[in-house]
Amino acid sequence: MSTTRSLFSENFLRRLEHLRLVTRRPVAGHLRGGHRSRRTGSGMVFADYRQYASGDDTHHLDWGIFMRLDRLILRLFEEEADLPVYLLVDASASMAHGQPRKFDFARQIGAALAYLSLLNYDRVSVVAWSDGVAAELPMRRGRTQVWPLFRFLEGMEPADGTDLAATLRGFFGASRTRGLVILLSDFLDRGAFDAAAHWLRQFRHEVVAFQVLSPEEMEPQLPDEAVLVDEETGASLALEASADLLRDYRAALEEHCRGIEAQCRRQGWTYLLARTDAPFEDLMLGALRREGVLR
Amino acid sequence: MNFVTLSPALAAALAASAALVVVGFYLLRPPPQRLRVASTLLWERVVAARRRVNQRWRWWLSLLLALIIAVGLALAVAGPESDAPRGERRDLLLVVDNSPTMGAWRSDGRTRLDHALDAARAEIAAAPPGARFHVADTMRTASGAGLVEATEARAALDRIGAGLGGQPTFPDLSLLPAGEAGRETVFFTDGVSPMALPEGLRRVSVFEAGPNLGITAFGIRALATDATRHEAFVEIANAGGAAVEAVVSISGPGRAAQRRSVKVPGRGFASVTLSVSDFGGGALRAAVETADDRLELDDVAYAFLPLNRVLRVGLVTPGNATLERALRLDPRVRLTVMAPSRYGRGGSFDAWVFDRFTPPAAPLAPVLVFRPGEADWITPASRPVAAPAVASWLPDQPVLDNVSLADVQLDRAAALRTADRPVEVLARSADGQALITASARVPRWVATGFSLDDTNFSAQASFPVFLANTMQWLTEDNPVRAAGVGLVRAPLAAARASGVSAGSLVTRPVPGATLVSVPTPDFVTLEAPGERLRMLVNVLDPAVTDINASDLPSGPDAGARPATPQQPGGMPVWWWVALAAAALLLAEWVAFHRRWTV
Repeated sequence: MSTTRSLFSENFLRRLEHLRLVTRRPVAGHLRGGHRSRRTGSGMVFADYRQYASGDDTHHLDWGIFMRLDRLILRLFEEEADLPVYLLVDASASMAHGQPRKFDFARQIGAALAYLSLLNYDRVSVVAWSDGVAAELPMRRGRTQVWPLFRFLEGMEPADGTDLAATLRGFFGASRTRGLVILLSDFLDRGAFDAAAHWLRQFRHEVVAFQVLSPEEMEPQLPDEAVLVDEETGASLALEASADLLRDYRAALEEHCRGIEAQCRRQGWTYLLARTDAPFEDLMLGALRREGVLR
Repeated sequence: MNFVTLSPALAAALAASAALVVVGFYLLRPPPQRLRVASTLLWERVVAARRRVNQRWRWWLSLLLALIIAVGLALAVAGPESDAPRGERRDLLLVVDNSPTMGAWRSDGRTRLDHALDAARAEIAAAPPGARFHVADTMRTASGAGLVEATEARAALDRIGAGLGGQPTFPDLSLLPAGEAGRETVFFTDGVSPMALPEGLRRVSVFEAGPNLGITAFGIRALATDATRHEAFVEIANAGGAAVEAVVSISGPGRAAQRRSVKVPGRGFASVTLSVSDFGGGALRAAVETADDRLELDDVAYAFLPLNRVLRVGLVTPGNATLERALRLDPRVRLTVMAPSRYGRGGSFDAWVFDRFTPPAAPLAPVLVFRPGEADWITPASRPVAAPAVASWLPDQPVLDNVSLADVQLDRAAALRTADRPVEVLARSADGQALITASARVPRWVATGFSLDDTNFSAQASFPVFLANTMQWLTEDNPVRAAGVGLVRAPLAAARASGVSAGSLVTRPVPGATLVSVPTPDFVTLEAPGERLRMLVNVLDPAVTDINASDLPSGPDAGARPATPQQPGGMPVWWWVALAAAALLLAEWVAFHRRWTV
């Protein structure tokens, strides 16, 4: 990932610049931005009326009502704020698997989403995690932060095991503004996803979960007898491959993915299965728009 | 547990070897391929759900199954048999009749001897544990040593072949050591060959009647009217009850085979006479062919046609019409008369007759000399004796066969010196002087101490006989001997043997002779350094041809035990072992494909 142009085509970037991240709930940003917030103020969208109180800005008095009813009524507008985006990229050793590597594919997704967030003046924070927070890029805002953010992504390398719950507990245990959490991982975590989701649920973050899997994982080809070595733990498992075993594996994988998706859907989060052999632009411009993540 | 094909030690060694090979293969199995995956999390769940048998136990289970299969197959090859008690323990004396008629085919395509050997093997298989055996045959081809175990007895049976020559006799079993167990003698025979059988034996019949034609006589003789022409006489015997159409053929060098159809009456004889004058000299082969014949051994015979049927004789004489006329009386003789001065000017002769002439060097051909002169190669004459009388002669010598010298009168004769010469005196005078001598060394010669002018011998009736005998003796080849099929003793030391039919033959030297094994009728030539002997080896025995002359009933083997008695389920033990191994093999295959074993 040397430059933006090497990551994405010119046409893709142009189309990306016309998109923006969409949140289902009002955001809690405190800087002006392009997203609807719970606060009322000087925005463009009418929200409500209330009695004028001393000290209120007289610019928002509804003079028509005063003339008809002789009452001072103040018009309220929704204030637009920026969106805190937390980009959590799984940098565990298992992400180094596949051709292309799942980690590279996840970084590409993260870079694209971070790029359009920065274009829309959202604040973006990037976290590389494995069995905890491995590296963190604090909140950045503005177009000028594209290159530092890309360099940060470029400097990450997969290592160690996977512990999503510990990572989320550690990261969101500190005070974080509620925002959009983009979770990029294969979710091959020995800990339960439910325990990890608890931390996101507690702080009422909005979540978009990308489960990145390689075709080698989805359609494994094994010799008759093999010893499988875990990339993360180094543990080995001897087995004899048979059609029944491979069928059972595919069923187990499907059940695993469905379990994570069900957890996400239950919370109103977005879940997307990202195959590394699928066209990247179809994912960004098609699947994310269908899911309502981008508009 | 006994084993049919191997000794218990060998069977155990075979089973151990098979087990070692299996274990070796298991230990040499290549390790499985190591593959790195993102996570074994899901694989562990799948494998944990599927794995019902511990991996190590699976390996041991697989090895155990493979070992049982391998050892089972090895034991099946060894041919196990049950040790279950099969009656009272006793020793078995098994005597197999292998006389020539046992080589007759039965309707199932196997010989009577094959059936006899199978029946003997069945007796061994059915014997109780611990029984000992003695195996013998009637032609002394396999002589067992005492009482032996079943394995050795089977090996002895395997060595028994058809005895071809000689008189079959029942072996003397009285010298066998007596054991504690009882003893039973079983004789496997077709009942054709007459033998003196001991009391109390059990006969197992392998007799089955069948058609058979055989040559019982084959001879060649000169025609009485023309000694240069020969005819062959072939006699055929029919052992079957129905008349049979057969073809008799005679083949030999010089012309195509002669064939003649003949109808042989049931249990009778027929003969055929064929001219064989057109054949070249040597062995002639007679064969009889029919549509169905159970014994091949007697279907062929050989005879010898003389080589020198016309003799080229050179007569060297200053003039002797009587001698010339007497020689021309012999139809075999092609006579050439020449004066002594013309001797040595060419010409090839089978024999010479010198009348009052003796060349200084011996001729290459044999010679008859009347009144020889001085020469190194022949007995020199001493001074003439007036009117000697022939007092004695050797009537058994071939030259004087049917020749009487009783009426021969001699006006004068020279006594022939015999000292320091290897000559035979055929006739002597009253005072012991040699009047006729002969030398058997090559070239042969016969000398008379008188000329025909000094005797009335040429006027005697026996004179042409004397001349014919002399010509025959001078020119005869080595005599052709006759022998029966089988082990032939040839009076020729350290000889090599070959037959026109069998090719090179197996020989065994014995002092002063050579034993030759001739399995089928043949014309055999034996050669030793400087010597050669020819032998006609034939069956020509009506007793062999008559394969139906048995007092036993024809049909299935009477008195025989079943081939594998008292086996579980009617099948031999090895069959069950092999079946179990096959079933385990199938189980292993299923277990492997279901991943119960590795």
